[in-house]
Amino acid sequence: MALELTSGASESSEPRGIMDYVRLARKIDSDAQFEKAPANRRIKIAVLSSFTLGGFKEAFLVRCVDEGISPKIYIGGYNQYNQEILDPASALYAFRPDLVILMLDTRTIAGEHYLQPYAMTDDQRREWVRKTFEMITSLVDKVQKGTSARVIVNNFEVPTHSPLGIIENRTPFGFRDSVLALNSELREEFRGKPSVFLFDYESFASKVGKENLLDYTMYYLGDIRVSPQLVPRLCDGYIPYVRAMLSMTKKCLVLDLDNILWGGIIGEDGLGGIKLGPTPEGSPFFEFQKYVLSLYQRGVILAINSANNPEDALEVFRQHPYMVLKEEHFASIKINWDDKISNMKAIAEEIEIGVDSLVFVDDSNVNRELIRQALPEVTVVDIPQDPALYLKTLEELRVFDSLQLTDEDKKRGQMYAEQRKRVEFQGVVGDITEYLKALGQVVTIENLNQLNLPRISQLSQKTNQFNTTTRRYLEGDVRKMADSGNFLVVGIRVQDKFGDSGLTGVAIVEKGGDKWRIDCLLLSCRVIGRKVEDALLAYIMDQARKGGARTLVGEFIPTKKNAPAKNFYRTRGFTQTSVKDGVEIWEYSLKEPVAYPQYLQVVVK
Amino acid sequence: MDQLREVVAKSFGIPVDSVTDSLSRDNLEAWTSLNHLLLVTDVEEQMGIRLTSDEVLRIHSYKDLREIVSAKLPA
Repeated sequence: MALELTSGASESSEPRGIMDYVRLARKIDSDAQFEKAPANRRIKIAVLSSFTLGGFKEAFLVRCVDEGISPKIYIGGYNQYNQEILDPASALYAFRPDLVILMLDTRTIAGEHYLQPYAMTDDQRREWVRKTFEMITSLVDKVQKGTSARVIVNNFEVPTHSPLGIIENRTPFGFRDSVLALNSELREEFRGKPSVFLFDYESFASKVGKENLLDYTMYYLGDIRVSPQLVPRLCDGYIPYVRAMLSMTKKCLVLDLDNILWGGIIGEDGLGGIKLGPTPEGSPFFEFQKYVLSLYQRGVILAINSANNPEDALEVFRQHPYMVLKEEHFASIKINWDDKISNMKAIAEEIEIGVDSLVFVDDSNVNRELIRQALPEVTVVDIPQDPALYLKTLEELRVFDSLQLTDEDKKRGQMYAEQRKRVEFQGVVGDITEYLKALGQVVTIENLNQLNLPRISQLSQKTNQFNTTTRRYLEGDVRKMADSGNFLVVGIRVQDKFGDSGLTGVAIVEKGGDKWRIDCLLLSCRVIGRKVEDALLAYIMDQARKGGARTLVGEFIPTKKNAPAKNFYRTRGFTQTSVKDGVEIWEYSLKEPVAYPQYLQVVVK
Repeated sequence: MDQLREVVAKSFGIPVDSVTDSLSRDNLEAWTSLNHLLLVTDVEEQMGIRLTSDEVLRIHSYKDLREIVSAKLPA
C-alpha cells in the first residue's frame, strides 16, 4: 500500500529485536493517526490476557501501520480479564472496541494442576474441561452483550510435559487429552457464531516451537509467557483478522509463468526442457501449482501475466503431463509482449475488480519493482530466488483470508474463469439480443432462508457498484427484517450455458399498504448487463401489485462507487419525486401489468 | 563492546555516544522494568549469549550490563 503513514520500519533495516518495535511505536502518534484515518482503515482493538504481554502493544501497532491500518490498541490490566469483562463500567467497555482478543493460556486455566495434573482423577479432569469451557463461553457471551465487537479467542497450547512420561498415553483421559478436548469443544461451539473466531494458538505454538515460546527467565522475572522475540510473529497471526474486518482481503493471484509455474524458460528450453513434475528439480514447481490450485478451490481468482509467445506457453498448459493448473482455472490470461503494467491493469479491468485486489508473483526482481512503483496498490510478493521456498512463501502469505466463506466464495475462481469464456462468446456473437438468447439464462428468485442468509448479508456488506442504497446489513439485521413480516427479502441466482453464477443479487423491500419501498437492490457486477436486474425488478413489481400496492418507491443514495446503479430507476420508468437527506426518491405507478424481460427464464422458489 | 552499545542505543532510540557507563535505569526514563526485560532478550539474541535471572536483576546501569556481557563473550 502507498501510505502516508509508515512505522519507520522501512527507513533503515527491518526491526530485529522487540525493543526495535518499542522504539518505532514510540514515534507513532496512534491517536492522531486514528482520527485522520478513513473509516475502512481504522480499528479499535482490545486485548485481554492472563499474563504480561511484553512488547505486544508496540509490535502490533507497528505491524498494523505497516499494513496501512491505523489502530487504537487497548491492553487490559495485568490478569484483569475477568473483572474487565464482568464490570459493565470497566475501561474495556468505555473503549468501545471493534475487536476483542481474549488471550488466556493453559497455565492460567489449569492453575495448580498445570504442574500436578495427576493430582486429579480422569473424572475430575472431565469436569474441569466442562467448567473451563463454560467459563470461556460465558466470558465471550458477556463481551458480545456489552460490545458490538468481533471476538477472537485463543485456543490452548497442548502441554508437552507429563509426570507420567512414556506411559502418558495409558491414561484414558490424561492431561494432554483434556486440553485437546477443550480445544475441540471450543472449536465446535464457535463454529456457528459468525462474530467469534478461534485463533489456533496451539498451531502457532507448534509452528514457532513450544520450546522457544516460553523463556523461563522472562517468565519468572515478569510473568512473560510469550518469549519477547516471538511476540511480533504472534501479532502477525492476528493481522489477517484485522485485514479481513476492514475488507482488505485480496481476491486475485496474478502469476508469471517461466520460473514460477515451471523451472526454465519455455521459449528457450522447450516443452521437454522445462522442469515440472515429480523430480528433484521439478517438485518445487509441481507442488507450488498444487497449492495455487487449492487457493482457487477456496475462491481465489487466478490470472496470468507473462512475457512469452502465447503459443509456446499455452502448449505447456495443453500438453505437459504434470501441469496441474489448466487454462480453465484462469479468469484472465495475458501472455504477450506488452509491458507487465498494462497487462496488470488489463487483468483488473477484465475481471472487474480493483487493482488493489491483485497479488503479483514474478521471479524477476525488475518486474516486481516495476509493478511496485507503477501500481503501489498491488501486493507484490517477495518470492525468494530458491524455488524450494516458493510453496512456503505462498503458504505464509495471509492476504486472502476472509471472515466467512460462502459457497459462492469457494466457487469464485471458477465463476470468473467462466466469465472469461462468456465475454469471449459475446465477442463472437456480437449482437446483445443474440447473445442473451444464446446464453439461455435461468434466473431463480428465492426468499430468505437459513441457507442463503450468510450470502445475502455478505452481498449487502460488500457490494459497492451496482447497489442502489449501499445499506449494510448483518445477518441479524436481515433476519429481523424478514421475521417482522414487513419486508420482502429475496436473493437471485443466475445460471447459463457457461455455468452457475450462484446467488448474485439481493432485494429488500418494505411492504406498506398501497406504497411499497425498495430499501436496497443490489447485484454482483459479474451479472450486470444481462437483464437480470430487470427480472428482479419485475418480480418486485409483481409482488407489490399482488400485495395491493399502487406505487413502488425506489431510493438511490449516490456514493463514490455506485455510478453503475445511478440511472437504474430512471431507465425503468420511475420518476424522481424528491431528494431527502441525500436520498433520491423515485416512484413508479403499478397500474399496468408487469412484463418480465425476454430471453431469460424466471423461476420463483 | 561496540555492538552492545549499538544494541542499547537502538533499543532506546538514543545516540550511541550517550551510551556510557553512567547510563542507568535511574536516569533513562524509557528503561522501565518491563523494557529492561525486553532489552535483555534483545541483547541475548543479538550477542548470542544467555543471562541468568540473578544477572538480569543485578543490572542497573550500562556498566553492569557491559561487565556481565563481556564476561560471557569469548576473550
